[in-house]
Amino acid sequence: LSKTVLPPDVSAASFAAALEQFERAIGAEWVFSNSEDLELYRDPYSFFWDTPDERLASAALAPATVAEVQKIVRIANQYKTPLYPISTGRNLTYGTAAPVMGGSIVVDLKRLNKIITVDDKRHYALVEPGVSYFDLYRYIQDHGLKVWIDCAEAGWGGPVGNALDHGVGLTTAPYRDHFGAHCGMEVVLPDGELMRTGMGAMPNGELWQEFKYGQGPWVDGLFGQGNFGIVTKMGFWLMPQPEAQFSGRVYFPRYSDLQALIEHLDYLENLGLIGYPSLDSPMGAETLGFGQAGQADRPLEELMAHGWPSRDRIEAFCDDRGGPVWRLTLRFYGSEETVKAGWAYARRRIAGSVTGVTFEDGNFYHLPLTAEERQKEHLAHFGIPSLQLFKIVEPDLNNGEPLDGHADFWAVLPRSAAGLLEGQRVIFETQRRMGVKPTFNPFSCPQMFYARSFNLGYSLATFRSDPEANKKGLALYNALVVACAEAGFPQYRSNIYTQELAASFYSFNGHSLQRFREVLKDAADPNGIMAPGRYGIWPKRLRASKAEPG
Amino acid sequence: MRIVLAIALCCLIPPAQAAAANSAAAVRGRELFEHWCSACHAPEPTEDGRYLPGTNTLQNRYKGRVPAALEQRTDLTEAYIEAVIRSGLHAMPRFRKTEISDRQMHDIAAYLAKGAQGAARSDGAT
Repeated sequence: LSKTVLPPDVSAASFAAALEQFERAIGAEWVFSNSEDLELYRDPYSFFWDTPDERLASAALAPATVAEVQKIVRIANQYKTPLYPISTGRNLTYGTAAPVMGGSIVVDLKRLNKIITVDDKRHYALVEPGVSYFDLYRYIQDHGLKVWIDCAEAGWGGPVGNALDHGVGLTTAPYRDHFGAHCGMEVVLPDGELMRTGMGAMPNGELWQEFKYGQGPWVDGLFGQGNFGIVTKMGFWLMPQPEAQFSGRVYFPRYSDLQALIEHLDYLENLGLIGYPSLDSPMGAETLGFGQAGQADRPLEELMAHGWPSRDRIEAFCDDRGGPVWRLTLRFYGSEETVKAGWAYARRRIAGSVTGVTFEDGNFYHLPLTAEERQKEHLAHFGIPSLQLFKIVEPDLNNGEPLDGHADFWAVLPRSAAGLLEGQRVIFETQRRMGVKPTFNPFSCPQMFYARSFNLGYSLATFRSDPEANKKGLALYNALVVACAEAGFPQYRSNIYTQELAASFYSFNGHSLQRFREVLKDAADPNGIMAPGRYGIWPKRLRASKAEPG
Repeated sequence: MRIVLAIALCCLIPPAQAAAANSAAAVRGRELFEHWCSACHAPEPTEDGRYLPGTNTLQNRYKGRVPAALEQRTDLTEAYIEAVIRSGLHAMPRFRKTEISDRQMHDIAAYLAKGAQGAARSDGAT
């Protein structure tokens, strides 16, 4: 069982007094402070599992109402006990339910689980943070509503927590940027005050989920990857349920076709004609899922054996292997007429500018999918939450051994052939330098979570019985963060252990961005009780020490 | 002391009543299993012809010696199921009490433990 910890600069007596106040505020049943209960707030995917550096909660509180959240925040100010809010607590690979700063009190919002509105005429929802994607999907199905949600890969996560960590999905661009697709928040501020953003601040309006800006500076951004309050309600724009979906594959014959491919892809996506595009290469193994899937590819290993290969060697490798080098899958959403017309247009446009390109029809579906069709497809592309992605931790993808967890690393790259090449090279060189077998090569393909950038990365294994392996994994993870950041490639989100490191690279003009955030933090949270350290933002009283737990 | 008291209380409950209570728990447990567990542990196939992740992992581990889908197992004990819910197993994370309460955990365990699924079905849940 975990050791007990206290928040920094809080005595045992003061902590006990605070817990008593919390019990009065929300009921003793929902104040968790014994070691058995706090086990449930550890991060089982942590590199630091069972080490002195593991970030442990000092207590956990589970309010059921916004008023209870306000009471908790006011008590925390009185005793200067730091709080760390979680939504569904399923931020696996990025910290799960554990806090950034050890000794924080986790505010578990799972019991705030109301679906307040789903409007399938105006295409939006308003939900509380404890609502999972599974919950919202079931509600929509049970009520026969004609809207889709864009869900994260893990359906037990939820719209609020995922959006607040800048999470992503797999349908069309306006929806799969989950923070970008939100509209309106309700927030308990660090002093316990309740605030609504955008049109939520105008009491007599009905535009809270439809016009996100209201008037004046738009402050919602402070609460994404931030520590300026506890979000208790959040609105989201939803996609109308399309009638049909069609996917088509485009095969590009040459390595040098990549830039043209990307320009076509960008054109189609930025015009709103396609949904989530997938890119892979028949030349190289898939790198997602620890890079260990499939048989060893000896010619590819030989290509990469002596460092990053020259362009001539890469092209000679492609010639020897033969066949197309890139495969682009385009997904169209709409009616039968529009998806077929979209595919015909994409074919005409690409064939007109890239010689030797070939096309292959994929599946056409009238929506919603039948039960049989659901068993064939990756459901997140159809707005259906699942846990399908957890296949990456199955033993048959890890040399027969089950994994205990994984830490995801996703660098953001420019959408250009040169940008992708540089990202591949940096990750390859870093793996090599750190003494692990490189899994990246010139055919490693990006994900396209966001519409205007690429995401290149993979999952690093974590273990609960092998601290040495975790130590090596963490060293590699940190090296990837540093090498990519030095190349100008940030992560789109970080786990609780590397947020500080990742934040340090935003250093323009003497870290003026960070200094401005700290000015805001000090003004809004003078007692420093709201999620200290989250994404590298510390309150004044803990800034120098970076807050070691007591 | 707590164990002694529990045994004593059990002795006061007539067997038929205890069986009915267990059956009711199993019926509730079936719904809870569907809500919390089936996305990983149901027997249906998923993309690429694979099983769902939890089912696939158990298939790989046991190589057919026991069924890969939890609901088809007859060798599970309530204590083991509860331990896995609260402690996790490999990549399966633990579940907090705000997700699955202690009572709900007992219901899931009653449903999955040996013989309880038959009880759930005989109680009208088919």
